[in-house]
Parts: sequence; structure tokens; C-alpha cells
Amino acid sequence: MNTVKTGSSSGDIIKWVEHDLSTHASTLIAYTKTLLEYANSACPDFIDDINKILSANEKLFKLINKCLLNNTVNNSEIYFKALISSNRHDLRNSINPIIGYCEMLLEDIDKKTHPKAYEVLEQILTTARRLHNLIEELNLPQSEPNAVVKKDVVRQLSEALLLHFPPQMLPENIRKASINLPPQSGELLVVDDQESNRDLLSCRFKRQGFEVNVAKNGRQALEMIRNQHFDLVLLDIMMPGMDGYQVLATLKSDEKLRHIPVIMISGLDEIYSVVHCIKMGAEDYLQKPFHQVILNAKISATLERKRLHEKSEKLLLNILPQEIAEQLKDYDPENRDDIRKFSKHFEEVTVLFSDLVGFTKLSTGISAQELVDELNQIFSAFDQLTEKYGLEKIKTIGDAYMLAGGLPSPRPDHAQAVANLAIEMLEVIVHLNKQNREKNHDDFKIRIGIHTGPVVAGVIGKRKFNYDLWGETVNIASRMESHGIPSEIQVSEATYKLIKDEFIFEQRGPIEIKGKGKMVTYLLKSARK
Amino acid sequence: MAKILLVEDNEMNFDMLSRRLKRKGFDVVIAVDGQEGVEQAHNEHPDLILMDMSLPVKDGWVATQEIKAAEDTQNIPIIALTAHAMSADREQALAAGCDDYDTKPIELPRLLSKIEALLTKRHTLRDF
Repeated sequence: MNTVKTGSSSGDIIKWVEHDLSTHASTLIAYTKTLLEYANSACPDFIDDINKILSANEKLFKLINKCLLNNTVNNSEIYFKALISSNRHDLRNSINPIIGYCEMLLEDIDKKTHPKAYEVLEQILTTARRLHNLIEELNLPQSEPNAVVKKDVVRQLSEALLLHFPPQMLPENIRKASINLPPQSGELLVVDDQESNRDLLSCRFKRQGFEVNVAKNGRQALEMIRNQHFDLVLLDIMMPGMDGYQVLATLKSDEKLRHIPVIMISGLDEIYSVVHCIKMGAEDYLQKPFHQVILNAKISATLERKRLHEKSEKLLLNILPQEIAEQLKDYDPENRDDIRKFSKHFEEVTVLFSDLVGFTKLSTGISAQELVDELNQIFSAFDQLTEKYGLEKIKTIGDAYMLAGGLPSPRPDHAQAVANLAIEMLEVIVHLNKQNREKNHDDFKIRIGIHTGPVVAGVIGKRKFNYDLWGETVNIASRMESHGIPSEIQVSEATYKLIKDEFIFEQRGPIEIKGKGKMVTYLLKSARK
Repeated sequence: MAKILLVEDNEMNFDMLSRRLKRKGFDVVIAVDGQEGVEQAHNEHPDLILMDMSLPVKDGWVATQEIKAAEDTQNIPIIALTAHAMSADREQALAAGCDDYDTKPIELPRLLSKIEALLTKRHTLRDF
């Protein structure tokens, strides 16, 4: 048989291949009928088996014709190869008994007694083998049949494989390696109106270690997705009633559901629909018939992307307050209006600074790494306190720690919360010093300063975003700390007035504050019992 | 005479193959789905199993796993027979516990040599 080559006028070549297949299939039937006629008169013992060959031949002929007919709509080589590939299982199953019975009859029929029957049988066998070779040669390259997203498949497949395997193992061992994918975990939903497809997919995924649920139609799928957690949805496009598009559109327009990755399941003739779905937000697509290796690779890649996405979301939330992180997704640093939108005025917030006293001196005594380890211990404890009181950590600057109460969501008790936290900060330091007694350095001491007033808060700049505060209030809070006393909490008059009934203070000053002149300040001692 | 259990749902295929195997001197037992295959493996204690992979009720992979997991049947060699186009099928069949693999259409001499090899290996093991 002539090898089918891409590039040359494939329409003509494929016509030739089609012709070849169809001729072989009909020749087989003609030979078998001849044999049957002969057997009727000469050797009736063999009629049963010859009839079996004939019925297998007819089945094969029908299968091949089905492929040829389907290809008349979309006359292309790749498409035809895909058709043959998807029917290869059935084609092989039909050729199998033809070859088997022929070989058996050749053993039974005496060549000398029935030379004609023997000769025809040999012809049937040769034709069947040739037809088998033709079918095996119509192989589909792995990334085809669809040229439109071909590059994408290759890229995604290799990405997926690279996630799991060292590159030197690829590509020779791609096949072998990807079969040994580590057991997977995750909950999948398979949505397909055809029972056989649902069974096939769920059976395969279960073998891979997934939890699999199935839905028969779009409506059932949506109901299940709303009531149950899924890591991934496999969605058939063509379904009666609510189709795959509608389900996808509903999912992607729902704030709570749009993060669930969806992989579309498509038939061969639905490639433009697939492109449409990907534009609508589908993560990927799978083509019927399912190829195990591609199936595995796509599922792992999608789940891996989901995990990475969740991880980066979590990281982002560590850096920015949640509502700011949400807004920032649409932030354009070049747009002046956006900058305005992301910096907001707050009428009254409480700002706290804390600083380690003599830290610079201390840092000459121990190694930088030891120092950072200790600092990490202190700041981690402060982070826990900030979370406990529902306050916002703004940043650390060297050994200084800055936080605020009353933003980004305003709260009436911002000053009380910050005061309570400050008292606990001092306790944390005392506790850590006890723990670190055996260590070869002096005790840590901190100064804390608090002030209440208006600020502007937001995110500015173009990169390395952080949520920050600006205004005189910040400067005064910082001065409260820098002009404070070790192991004491110094608060301004403004903060004092807000919480003087709930906490015990000791008046200090008035003292000279750099750039501010004389100010009356207070040392926060404890909460009133 | 070695006893072979043939698990195959396609009537024409099991009729043809079982007759050909009988001619070669094997005792052949047939099961038409995976569940029956597992049961027959327990009841008949065949010397070897030929397992089609796409079977109704319980597919060949599952049936193989079950046979290989049960104490009384785990030593029976299994050859997977598939008509699948999937290149991963061979590895999957082996991963499920099949001892060897062959594709349809069946080339009898090739299949027989695989059967003989596994039966010899089994006898050698049994003699020890």
C-alpha cells in the first residue's frame, strides 16, 4: 500500500485509500460467497464456518462504509484517520474471526480433494491480512486530528509531563512514563448523556484513584456542582435539554463556581465548538475516542494548575487584605482613576509601631542567621496577635513592626483592640525572653507607640504591591514609639481620650516631640478590670 | 493436557479461538464476561487464562486484578487479548497483573508460543 503522506494533495490520496479499503472489503465478501457456493455442492460440512466468515466480512464492510460515509462531509486525511482510529477496536474485532476461521478451514480442507476451495480460502486470508495492514497504517499522529489546537495539545501535554518527570526522560519514554503516573486524588464529575461514555470515563478515573460522580444531563450536573465539592468537571458538549455550552456559561457566570476547572468532552466534528468553549472559560478539551495517555496528562495538568492557582491566591492573601486583593485583580497602575480608587481616606484609625530596643547593638553579638531566626519568632507571635484581634498588619521595617486598626473595614473599637494587642505584645516579649534565657545575649526589649487619627490607605506603585498608610497620623504614631520608653506603651492624647475609661494610664510629659513641639502623652499600663 | 480459560464476549471470536486451541490439544473452558471469568478461574483452576480486555459486566482489567488478588488463583498466568488501538493498553494490561499481552487479530503461532512459554515457566516453578 502507498504510504499516506501529509503535505501532498491529501484529498486525492485519501480518496485513493478510501477506494482501496472499500475494494478490499467488498472483494472479501465476493470471495466468501464464491466459496459458499462451492461448498454447498462439494463440501457441505464447512458451510457453517464459511457462513461465519461471511457474516464477519459483512460486519467489517459496514464498519468501513460507515467511516467512508462520515468522511464525505469533511473530506480530509486527518479526519479520515481519526475515524479509522476511533473504529479500530471494532475493525480488529471483525477481522480477527475472518483470519481465524480461514486458517482453521485451511487445516480442515484437503488441498488435493478441494483445490478450488483451498485456493479461494487462501485469497480470502491474504485479502483480510492486507486489509488489516491498511487499517493499521492509517495511524493518527498523537496530537492530531485537529490542527486548529494541535500546538496547544502538544504544549499542554509536554507541560503536564514535565510536571511529573525529569526532561531527560522525554520524549522517548513519554508513553511508558505517563502510564506510571502516581496515583491521583480529587473529586471529578463526569457529565455525559451517553451511558457508555460515562461508564468508560468513570471506570478509568476510578482506576487512577479519583472519586468519580456522574451526571446524565446539564441540569443534574449544575445541581450536583452547587451541592457538592468538585475539583474538576468533565462536560460533554452535545446533550439533549441543557447542553454543555449552557452549563459552562452558567458555571462561569457564577461567582462561587467559576473557579472549578471544566474540561469539555467533544466529538470529532465539534472542533469549532471546542474553541468556542475555551473562549468561554473551559480549561481544556478531550476528544472522543479518549486516548488514555492524553486523558491522564490533561487531567493532571488541570488539577495541577488548580492547585497552583489556589496556592498563589493564598499567597496573595498573605500579602494583601482580602478585599484589596479582590479589587487589585482589575488594577491598572497606569490609570490615574485606578490609583484614586485603590487609595482610600479613613477618618479615624489607630496606628501602632513597635521597635526592638538596642537591636542594632545586639546584632553585632550574634550571627545574622541567628538574629533573623529570633526576629522571626517575635514577628510570628505578633502576626498571631494581629490575627487574633482582627487587625491589619501593615509591614515590618527591619526590626520594627507596624499595624493598624479600623481598616480596610472600619470598626468602632479600633483603639481598644490595638491597646489590648499592645499589652499582649509586651507579655509575648517577656515570655520569649524566659524561653531564651540560656541563649548568649541580652533580653529583648520593645518600645510601642500608638496614635489615632485620619489616614489614606491603599496600594500604589507598579510592582511589589503592598497595602500601606500615609498621613500625619502615621508620623505621630511612629514618634510615639521612637520617643517612648523600653517595655512601655506610649499613646497620644487622641488615643487616650478614646479609651481612657477602659484602660489604666500614667500621664507622661508634656515631652518634646521632634517636628511637633511639646505633646502630652500617656503610658498604657493595663486594662481596667 | 493443559486447561485454558478463555474469557471473551464476542461469540464468533470465542467459537473460533476455542476450536483452534482444542485442535492444538488444549482443554478449553469459556467465560463470556469478566465476572464469569473470575468465577471460572476459581472453579476450574485452569493452567492459563486468555483474557479479552473489553468485557461486559466486569472488564478484563478488573477481572485480572481480582484473579491476581485471590490466593487460589493468583498463580494462574494470564494473557491479555485486546483489539484496542490505545498504545497504553499493553502497559495497562501488564500493570493490572497480566503476564503477557497479544493483540487481535490473533496470529495463532505467536499466541501459542506465548502460551507455551508461560506454561513451561509455570511447570518449572511448580517443580521447585
